[in-house]
Amino acid sequence: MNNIASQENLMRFFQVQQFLNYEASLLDSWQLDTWFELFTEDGAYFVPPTDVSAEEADPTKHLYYIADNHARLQERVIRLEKKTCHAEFPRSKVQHLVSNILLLGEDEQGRILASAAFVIYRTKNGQTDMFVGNYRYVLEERDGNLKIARKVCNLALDGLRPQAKISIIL
Amino acid sequence: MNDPLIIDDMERGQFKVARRSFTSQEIFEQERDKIFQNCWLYLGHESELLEPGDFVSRTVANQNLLFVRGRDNEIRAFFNVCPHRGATVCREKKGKAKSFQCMYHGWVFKNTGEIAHLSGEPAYAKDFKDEGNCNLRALPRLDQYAGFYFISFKQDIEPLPDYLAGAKDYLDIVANQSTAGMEIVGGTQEYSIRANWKLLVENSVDGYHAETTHATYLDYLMNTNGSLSATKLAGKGYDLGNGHAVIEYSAPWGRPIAQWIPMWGEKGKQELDQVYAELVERLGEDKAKQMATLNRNMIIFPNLVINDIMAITVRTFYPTAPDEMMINAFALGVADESEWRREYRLSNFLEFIGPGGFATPDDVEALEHCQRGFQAAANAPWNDISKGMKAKQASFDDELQMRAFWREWNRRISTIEEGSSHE
Repeated sequence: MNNIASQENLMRFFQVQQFLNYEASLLDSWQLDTWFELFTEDGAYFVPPTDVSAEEADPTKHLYYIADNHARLQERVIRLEKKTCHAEFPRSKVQHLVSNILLLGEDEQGRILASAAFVIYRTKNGQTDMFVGNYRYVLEERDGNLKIARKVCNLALDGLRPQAKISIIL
Repeated sequence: MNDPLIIDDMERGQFKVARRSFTSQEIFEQERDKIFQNCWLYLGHESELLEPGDFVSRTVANQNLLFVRGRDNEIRAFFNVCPHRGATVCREKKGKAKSFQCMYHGWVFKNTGEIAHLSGEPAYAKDFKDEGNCNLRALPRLDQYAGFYFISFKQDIEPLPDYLAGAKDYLDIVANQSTAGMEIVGGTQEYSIRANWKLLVENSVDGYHAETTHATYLDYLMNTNGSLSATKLAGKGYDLGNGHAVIEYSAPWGRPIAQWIPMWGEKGKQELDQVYAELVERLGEDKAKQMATLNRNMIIFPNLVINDIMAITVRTFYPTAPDEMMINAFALGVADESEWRREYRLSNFLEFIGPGGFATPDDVEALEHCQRGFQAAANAPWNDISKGMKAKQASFDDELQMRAFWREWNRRISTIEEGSSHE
């Protein structure tokens, strides 16, 4: 690999890393409206089941934990901002840790494919729950900024025991 | 243990449940012995075992079971426990197998449960295998109704159809939605809640909590263009006998069987009209209307919930401690439905019912806060379940269905069993 190509790769990696860390910081500080704006107008967000392999899982065929198209994702954000969203009122404390970022190349539309590992701690009512797994992102560059076209959160868990629910954004 | 666990005062229209029913270790142990050991418990659905060799391993009331269709095409249920030294034999969740080998000493079992290979056999007595002691141990009882398989740990139990009582009619309504049959859709929602299991029984058939607990879900339906029909929330509650109960009601959300909403478009309307016409032809106008347009939340005592609402959930759970339960929830769909119908069914399911949906997380919050509240049981000892007690016909948002459960629960818990060390 020549120096220019590796410099471009480095820049790209840094850009994605910064972006994912920024996204995590928005989620941890409950700036959900701003977070939602990170998505493209057809952006989608998924949490597949834990008993179907990530390669096989398909939201039209399998029962997912979450399969939000853009409209439902917006409704999720609206819901999370209400007092009547009891599971998150009062709001939990959330801390995302994002690591193992890997650029996987581009899809046929030139969008960036990336994966990363996550550990997320959620604390409420004196109880801390942990979500662990990996992200699969499809990112689109628009005017020099990255946007999320697709975010898939594959849990490395056997179900939600003891978490019970995914009331935060992973 | 001499203080009553329920107060059932019809005259005053008062029904109370002692909060220690949710917190006491002693009652938890009695439930294990008197309820989970003595009832028919849901194991799985026939659609999970379509071909010889198909198997599912599943935990029911804390015990590891193996649900398998043998090479002879017969469906059986075994304790997933090696007869030799007790190791779990099948450690996969599901699959297809001709035989199962225990990883510990290598005993191999046919998918009909018989021993196929006893490693080191020459060192055993000649007739060692003859009495069946080397075979996987079958559950004392296994039976099915309308494709739903139940087991019992107790040999001497009433036949399943008698046990199910009035719930049979409602299982039929779920099972007969298509001539192609029903199937469990892949992807299980496996979760736990830090609350007593009976709180989920109550919550699953509670028509009273929707407006407050699920305010954001109802907001969501109203915000989403085309998610609602003009139908109002209204209906009735029924005691089905033996602790089973159901609420049956109309509701504004779309039902993928045949209650159309504008979001599903003209093409969707045409398809659902066809589905409805088939139902009318096969079952008559009244039954078709009930099946297609009414919602049903049903509890089958003690721990099976079948909610035929904006999608169909089959949910079963068991306690691991007074303040913790394990839940498995499955989506049930029409076996031959079109791709878009399946897609909307799953979409409907996960947006309301699942742990990542717009409703279940709030139920979890409510249940866990009830469990916390019960810490004050010594000073604030009673739950109230009186709503609609004096009504001639209970409404869907009354609490008759919970009283039906609690009366049966109390009857069983109050029984003094022979040889019981608890009384």
